[in-house]
Amino acid sequence: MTDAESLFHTYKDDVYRFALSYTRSREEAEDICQTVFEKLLRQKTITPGKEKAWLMQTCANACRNLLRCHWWQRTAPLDSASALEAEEEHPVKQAIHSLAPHYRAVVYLYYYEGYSTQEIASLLHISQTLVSTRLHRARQTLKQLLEE
Amino acid sequence: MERNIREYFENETMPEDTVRRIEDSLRKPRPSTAPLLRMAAVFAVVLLAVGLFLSTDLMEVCADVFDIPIHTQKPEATEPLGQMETEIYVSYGGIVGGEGEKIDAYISLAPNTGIPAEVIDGRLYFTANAEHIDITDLCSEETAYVYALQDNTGVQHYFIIGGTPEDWGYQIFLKVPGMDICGGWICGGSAGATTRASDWKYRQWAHDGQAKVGHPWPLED
Repeated sequence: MTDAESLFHTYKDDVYRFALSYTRSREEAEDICQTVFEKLLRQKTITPGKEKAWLMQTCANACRNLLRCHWWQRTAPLDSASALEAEEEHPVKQAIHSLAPHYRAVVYLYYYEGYSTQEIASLLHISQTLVSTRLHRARQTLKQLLEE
Repeated sequence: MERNIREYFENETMPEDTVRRIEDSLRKPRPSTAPLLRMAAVFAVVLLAVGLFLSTDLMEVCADVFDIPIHTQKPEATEPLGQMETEIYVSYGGIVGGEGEKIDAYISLAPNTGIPAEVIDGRLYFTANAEHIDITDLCSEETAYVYALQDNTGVQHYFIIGGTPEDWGYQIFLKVPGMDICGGWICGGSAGATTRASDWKYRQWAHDGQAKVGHPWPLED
């Protein structure tokens, strides 16, 4: 087994969940994972111990690139809901999926991955203040949604 | 709540078939077919669109609209606009749909001119129409900067830009006189650097911008 394969088996679900939290689309999350690990295969050197950070950062970049693509469409009616929305029946799932992508990403990194706001800021290339703001707003929204 | 969030994410794991697919690609990397597929899809859309486009009265209107350079007339805007005695360098992409989602026309997107803003040294600039306006303090997560102009064919162009330099987005609306589908509105754009068009409804600035330009369809579910 190559190093890339070994890292793939260790971190595949983490990268997948992060991509899913960003895109809310299984297909896109799967494609992003493939892109990320293929990049890993081509990557010459990664600082030992920093492999996961590299993967998460590459994943964030890949998600951003995907979402940055142009969308041209008429606005009425709005585009159809994603496939995931159709299967949202669990309240927590519904609440998380109702968050905007940039909120979902910080919620995932903070609550599931256990990163600090400083680490998230570094991963997402945004300020620590913005991470804290997004976390605060996401918490408020989730609390409100789950209480309804 | 925190435990619920962790449980939710814990239940999401990569599907087995995807694991196998990626394992295969790591053992035997193949050149990506995505660019070819994208080219084929674009080609198919263009073929379809050209046929439909030629069969509509829109051709004449849109030919005028995209006969670049277009010399502008006095703009109507909600914010300071800078010098408008210039040529329009932007062009738009857009799919105009009638009832039932049938595509009636397709307008191609010219490279390098589709995104009306960019971040330079941490500041957000409006860059379309040969402008270079620092709009960092003119918009926010809640409010939109709107740049409007009317070209010499009578088409009204609205650029809506909102957010922050870290997370900004835009929408472009065209109001075409005499076009009876969609109330004459053509819309296009990207919701932001970190989100997509389907998430416009989450962005307060997008709602604000739409209200400013008087677009009739609110971004609701």
